Amino acid sequence: MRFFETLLDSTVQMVRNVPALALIPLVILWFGIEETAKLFLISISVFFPIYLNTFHGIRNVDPQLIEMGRSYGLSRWQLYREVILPGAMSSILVGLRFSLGLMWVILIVAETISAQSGIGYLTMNAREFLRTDVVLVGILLYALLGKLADVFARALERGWLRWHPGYQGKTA
Amino acid sequence: MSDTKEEGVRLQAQGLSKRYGQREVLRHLKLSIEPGQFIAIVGRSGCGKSTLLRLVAGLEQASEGQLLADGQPIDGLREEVRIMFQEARLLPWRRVLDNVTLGLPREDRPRAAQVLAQVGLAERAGEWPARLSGGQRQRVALARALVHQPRLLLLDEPLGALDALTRIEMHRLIESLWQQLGFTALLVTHDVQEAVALADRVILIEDGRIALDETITLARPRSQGDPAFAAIEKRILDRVLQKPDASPADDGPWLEPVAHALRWAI
Repeated sequence: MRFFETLLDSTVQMVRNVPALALIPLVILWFGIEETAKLFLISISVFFPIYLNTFHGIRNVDPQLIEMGRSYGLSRWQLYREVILPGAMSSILVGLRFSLGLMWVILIVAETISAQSGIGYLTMNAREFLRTDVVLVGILLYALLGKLADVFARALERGWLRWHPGYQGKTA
Repeated sequence: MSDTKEEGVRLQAQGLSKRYGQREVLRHLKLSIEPGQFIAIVGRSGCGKSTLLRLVAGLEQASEGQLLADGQPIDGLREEVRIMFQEARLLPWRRVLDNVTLGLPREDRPRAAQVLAQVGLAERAGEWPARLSGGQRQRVALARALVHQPRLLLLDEPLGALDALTRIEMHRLIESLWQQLGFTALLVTHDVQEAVALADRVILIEDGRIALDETITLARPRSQGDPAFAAIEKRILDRVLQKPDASPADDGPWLEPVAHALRWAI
């Protein structure tokens, strides 16, 4: 168990530290400049914040609760579903929020480099023609999308962390 | 809870030893507990009483010797044994009733609600554990243990963190449920008064051995104001306090700062 953790974790840590944007030339060679390339870049970059936070969250699940679950006859699957996953949930959601922010950044950069449409393409094009108004609209759209993603993450937190005193609203 | 009064587990320890590295926590312990008895294990902290409980629960393995439940060796977790920990260990993300039903099939929910009512928390079934007081949490933990209809209930200082009034209430609750359900109970505690209030037999563990095994014949419910109660409590407490230093190993870290202080004084 420890061995695999070391093996897997050091590999992941190495890959993690490769900036996703450095992969752009490779991604263009592999996937062309179609949507697949963008999907690939975004998947790679949002994976790590979620992975790291999930790992951290599982590590920090109270061992006393796991011991209790075992002694109350929970199966491995039940233990995972009832104790470990909910215990790691607040960390997982932190990773998710971080990833949602990162998602827009990567998408926009990917669009500015190789695209025929999209907000990034729009603003880059507008820059060439000195259309400040279009650039501003693009930026406002980013802000709006970022806010939307945050609202989504908050809704998840409200749903899944209702039990958590730190996340309870006034009405709870 | 079912009406059938199942008999408790007969528990035996034969030459039971437990070592952590070099340190021997339990030494050739011999013990025999009748079905349905209420046993209290007292002792100073670090005397091995919690270790004994963890061995009985199957959470740890003995280094030597064995434990028998109804004549069968305990080598892992058992369905008829349930443990109540020092902390309530409720899952904060499950509501009170869902904590009680942990590990039970769905059709046992009404029974869980019934047990919750027995510990007096029926109206808090839909609350989050974070909103309960310490005593209420331990009552939920008690319900969670009892809903499995254990034939052996292990109590690892479950009342240690509660205030005096709540403790007396919990004593009464545990005693009445024990009388009603007939399980064998094994209570680990550092509180001699609690041991005398609840147990049929008080066992003192010292340096991993049984130093005293006293049967208490006072009628139940026991009142702490009773002179006979006070006499037994005093006798056991005196015996616990007889050995001023728990073990020579404990002296090591104490000597050093004293020597230091002396040097400064000179």
